[in-house]
Amino acid sequence: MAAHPERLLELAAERATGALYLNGRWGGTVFLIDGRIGYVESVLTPGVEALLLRPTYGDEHGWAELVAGLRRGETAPAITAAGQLIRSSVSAVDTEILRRTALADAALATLGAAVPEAARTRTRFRPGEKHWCEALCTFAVPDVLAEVNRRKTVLGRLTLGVAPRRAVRRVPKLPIERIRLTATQWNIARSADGSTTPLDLAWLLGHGVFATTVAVHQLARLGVVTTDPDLPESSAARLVPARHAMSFLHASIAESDENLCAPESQQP
Amino acid sequence: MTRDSNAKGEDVVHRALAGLNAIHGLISASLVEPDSAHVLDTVIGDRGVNLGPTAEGRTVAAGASDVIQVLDLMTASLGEPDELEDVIITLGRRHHLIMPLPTAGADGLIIVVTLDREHTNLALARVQLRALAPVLETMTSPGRVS
Repeated sequence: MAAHPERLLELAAERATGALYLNGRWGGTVFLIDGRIGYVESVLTPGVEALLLRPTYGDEHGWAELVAGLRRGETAPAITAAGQLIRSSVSAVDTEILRRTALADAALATLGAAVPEAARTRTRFRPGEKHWCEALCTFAVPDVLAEVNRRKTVLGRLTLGVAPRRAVRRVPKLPIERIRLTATQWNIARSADGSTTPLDLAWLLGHGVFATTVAVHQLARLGVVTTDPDLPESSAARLVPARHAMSFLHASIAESDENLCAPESQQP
Repeated sequence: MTRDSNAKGEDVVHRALAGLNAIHGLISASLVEPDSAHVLDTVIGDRGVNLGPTAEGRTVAAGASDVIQVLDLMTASLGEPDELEDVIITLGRRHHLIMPLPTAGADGLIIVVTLDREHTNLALARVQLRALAPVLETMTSPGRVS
C-alpha cells in the first residue's frame, strides 16, 4: 500500500496542522489542517499554480520554459503569477476546482508510490505551515487514500503498454479513414513524438497526470498513438479489440472486490 | 472524496452546486471530472437521506464518466459534427441526468444528478439543471488572459 500512511494517520489522529514533507524518490508534501488534508504537492505532477496559469499562456515556448522550472522545483515565479491571477481574473470557484484536481493528482504520486517502508523514507513535519493557496475545503485522510487506491486500480487496468512514465508517439498513418478528435486529444497526438510520456503531456497541457494517462490510453485504443517504438504501420492499423476498453465503473467494482490488491507497478 | 463542512473559508464550489437543491426529488448531485471519474463535490437532496453518498456517489460518477466517454466516441464517429448536450438514464425508481460542462475545470467537468422518479418531474428538473448549468459553467471556466 501507500508508503507513508502511518505517519500521516498519526498526524490525522492528533488533528495536526502543518506540512508533512515526504522525501525520497516519489517525495511530496501533504498539507494538513486539523488532521485533514488541505492540499498535496508533488514535484512530479502539475500543481494548482500550473493549472491556473496554463490557459493564460498562448505562447508554447514560454509555457515550456515555465514548466521546466516548475519540474525542477522552482515554483516561486509561478506562485506569484498564480496569486495575481486569483486576485484579478480567476473566480474562487475556478481556483478551488483546480486545487482539488491538483490535490488528487499529487496524492497519487506522493501517497500511492510503491516505496517500501524499508527504503528509509524520510518524513519531516513542520507544524503550522500552510500551502499558499487557501483551502476552502479539506478532506479526510482515508478518503484521499481511497481515491489514490481507486486511481491505482484504474492505472493497473490500462492496456497497450500505456503508463504515466512510458513514452508514446503518434502512429505514422491513421488506422481508419476518418476520425474526429477533441482539442485535448489533438494536442496529445500533436505532441506525442516518441519521447514524451503521459506525465510530460500533462505538464504540457496543464492537466492532471492521471487524467492525461487515461486520455492517452483512449487514443492508443483508437490507434492514434502507440507506446511501441518499433510498431510497424500495418499492425497499428488493426481494429481496437474490445478487451482494451477501460471502464472506470469496472475498475471501481473490481477495486471493491479485490480490496487492497491494487497493482503497485505503474506509478507516475 | 467527501467534503468537510468545518472548513474555514466558505466553500464556493459546494455553494454553487447546492443551487441544484431546488430540484424536487433530488437524491444527489455531483460535480465530476469525467477524465478521471473524480468526484469534486456532492450535494445531497431532499430524497437523499440514508443513502451512503460516498460509495454510491463514486459508483455513479464512474458509470457516468464511462457513459460520457462512450458517447463522445459515438458523436466523434458520426458524420455531422455535433455536441453532447445531456444524457438521461431512466431506471425503474430513478433518473440519472448527466450534463457536460466542456469549458469547466482543467479539461471539462460533468454534473451528475440522481433523482427519485416518484417525486420528481423530469422535464422540470431538466429545465432547472439547464438553467443552472450556464451559471456553473461561467463560474468554473478558467480565466483566460489573451
